[in-house]
Amino acid sequence: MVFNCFNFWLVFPFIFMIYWAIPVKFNRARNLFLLAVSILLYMNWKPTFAIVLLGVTAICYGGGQILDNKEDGSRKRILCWCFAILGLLPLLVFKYYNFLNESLTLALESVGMHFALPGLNWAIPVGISFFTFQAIGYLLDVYKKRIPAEKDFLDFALFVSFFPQVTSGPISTAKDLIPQFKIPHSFRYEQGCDGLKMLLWGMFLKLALADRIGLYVDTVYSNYIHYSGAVCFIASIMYTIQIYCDFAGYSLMAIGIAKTLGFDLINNFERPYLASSVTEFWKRWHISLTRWLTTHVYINLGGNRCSKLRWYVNIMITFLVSGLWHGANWTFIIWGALHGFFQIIEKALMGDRLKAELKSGLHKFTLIRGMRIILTFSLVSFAWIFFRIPTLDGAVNVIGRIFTDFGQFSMGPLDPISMVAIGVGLPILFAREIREEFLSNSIKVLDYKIVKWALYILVACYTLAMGVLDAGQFIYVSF
Amino acid sequence: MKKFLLSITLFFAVMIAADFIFGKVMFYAESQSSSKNYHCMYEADEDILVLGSSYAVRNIVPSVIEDSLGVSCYNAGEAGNGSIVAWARYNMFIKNHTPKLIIYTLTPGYDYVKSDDYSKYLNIVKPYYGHEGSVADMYDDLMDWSYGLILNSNFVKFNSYGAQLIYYWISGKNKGLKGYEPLYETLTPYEIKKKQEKESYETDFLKMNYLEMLFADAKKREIPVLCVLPPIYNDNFSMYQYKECFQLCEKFGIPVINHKYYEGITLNAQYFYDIVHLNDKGAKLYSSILCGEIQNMLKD
Repeated sequence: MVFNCFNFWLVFPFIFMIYWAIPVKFNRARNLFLLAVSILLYMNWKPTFAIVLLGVTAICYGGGQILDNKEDGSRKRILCWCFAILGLLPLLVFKYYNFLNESLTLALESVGMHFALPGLNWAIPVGISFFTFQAIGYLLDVYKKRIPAEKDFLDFALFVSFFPQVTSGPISTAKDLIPQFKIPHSFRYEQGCDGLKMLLWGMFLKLALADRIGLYVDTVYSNYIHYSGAVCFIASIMYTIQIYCDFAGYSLMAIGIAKTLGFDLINNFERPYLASSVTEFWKRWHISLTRWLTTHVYINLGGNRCSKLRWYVNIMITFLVSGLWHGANWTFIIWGALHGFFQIIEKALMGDRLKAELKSGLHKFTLIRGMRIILTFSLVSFAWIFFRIPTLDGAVNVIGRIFTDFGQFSMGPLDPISMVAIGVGLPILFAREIREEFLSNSIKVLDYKIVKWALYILVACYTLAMGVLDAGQFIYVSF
Repeated sequence: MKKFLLSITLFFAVMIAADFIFGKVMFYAESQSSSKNYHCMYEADEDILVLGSSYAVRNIVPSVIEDSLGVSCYNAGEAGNGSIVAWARYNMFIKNHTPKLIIYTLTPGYDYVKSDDYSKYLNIVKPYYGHEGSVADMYDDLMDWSYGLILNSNFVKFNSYGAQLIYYWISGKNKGLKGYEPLYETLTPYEIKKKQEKESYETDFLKMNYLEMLFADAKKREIPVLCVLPPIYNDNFSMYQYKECFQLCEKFGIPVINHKYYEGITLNAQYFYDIVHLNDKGAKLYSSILCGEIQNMLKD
């Protein structure tokens, strides 16, 4: 059940009231209630998906118990690999089997061999990439002794299946989330309000911006041969904004819902399009996935504690894995490779300076920084074309049109509603992003309660009046 | 928790008030813009009612019919829509006034070919949920039960539509054209070599039912119906999807005028905006041709 569908909002008030009605001293009952709700909401997609979810949960729980008791050595390492592969198996089968099969068949045919396994026509369990990585992350943390194994199966099951995050993240670590389930907590007004504010802003991003812009992007990209290079270029910029609003919007809704229940999830986005380098972009975009890949792929490969060449290879491998995680298609791999390539170039040209910049965390606006932000945005937008277009040919054709078709400029299929969405919604987004990045705490009028309330009401009204309300799917829910 | 629940209650109270005000503003905008729903619901008095898809909206010019035949005409067609919107607007129209003739442009793709998304059709008429019974009935037939709850909100009713309404209100676009929405650009001539392929399709009997109900009700009220297929720029067009609507027309004794390959218009790019829509020049020419047929129907 997605958060932007009415049925969820019929059910959630009851979940909220029942959860907080359970006395604090019965914390276990609260967790059991959350677990039952999480499983039931997940089964609402398709009941059989829950078997996969519970299977991955059981494998990683069992693996954690066994690894926790083992001495370091090759036996422990082999066991870890076995459990990790078992845990990854559903993801590999459901998501990558057809892609691997087709790629292998094509490769063999190119050398004159004909061999093909039968294809699979199974629906991919919703959120499998997210909950699998979350569970495997726990397993690897136990192996590396970052955390002890969780003894309580029900708490662990809640960690993997927690409903705000199971379908589209953020990917939490066991160290961050499981202790929160164990600590009895009372309702706090500020936390509840913060949760609702995040929910409201998330809905605005998703419904009023992402879904509205998506209608324009879909119209152009599904028929790009009929549009000029200028229109394709505008659509690519719009998609860049769409995917951010979609994913950040959903993440905020998930974090907001968790907050209203008293739980803090990792913030997944920190104004990524105001990054002044692709390296910085990845510290601000899908932060939970970046953290997972850094901890469990990049560092295990050696990170930057090796020769420069090996360092660059490690970066490329990490981003190839990231590309593959996003989808079973060569376009996603190219997308990942592009990001890896951009970062390698950055490190080769600006290595130490970049490191110092990221460490200082300074967000002062200068002309140079502004130009770097625009350059980074352009590179990221270029890469998103591969992410969005389902075929390599299509992506290359769109890029070709952008750079060669200098025909008559037009905005393309822009209807009045899209014009309002872009003309009103985008400035609201930009204003907030710029305020938070460069002007934090300097706009005092926003401290007044009446001003804040007026803004909340306006955003809510605008979202209801302009948002796409018929439960458009989150882009990342298909991962 | 008490403070939190009070805050939420206050927030919802303000939102309900905002919803009420928004509804008032939107209905006023409806009355001031060229809203077809509003016209059909509250201002209908024309002799000829045109219904259908963009084949109606772009190709049939009420002013040409009015000037030629001395009868009033209103084009209540809607681009990208068919039987669902037609049924709703027909019901809105006849509440006020019985037309002397209904012209319906058949478009199987919207009239009865199965598509998953009913909301794109119902979104056109959802502001009148609660005002027009047939709209509520269609929501009950086609959509989840929860729509019955959320459509009590004016924000939801006028969702998306509101911006378009205000745009038309302020710009005055299409005002005075009696529902006709002209296209002015001209198609660059080209040869269509490939024969349109027959693709399998599934008939949506729910959608088809609305078309059938429209024809049946018109027959009951003794309102003549004329079905037309305006010209298109394609001499390799296949009629494979039209079987069901031709059978329906035969069932109710409704004449069908097939102008898909009309000599002098089809393949004459100067009359077309794109492969399926006439431009303003072509629409005026076609409407004058149609007047002859309409005259015969009115005499009968």
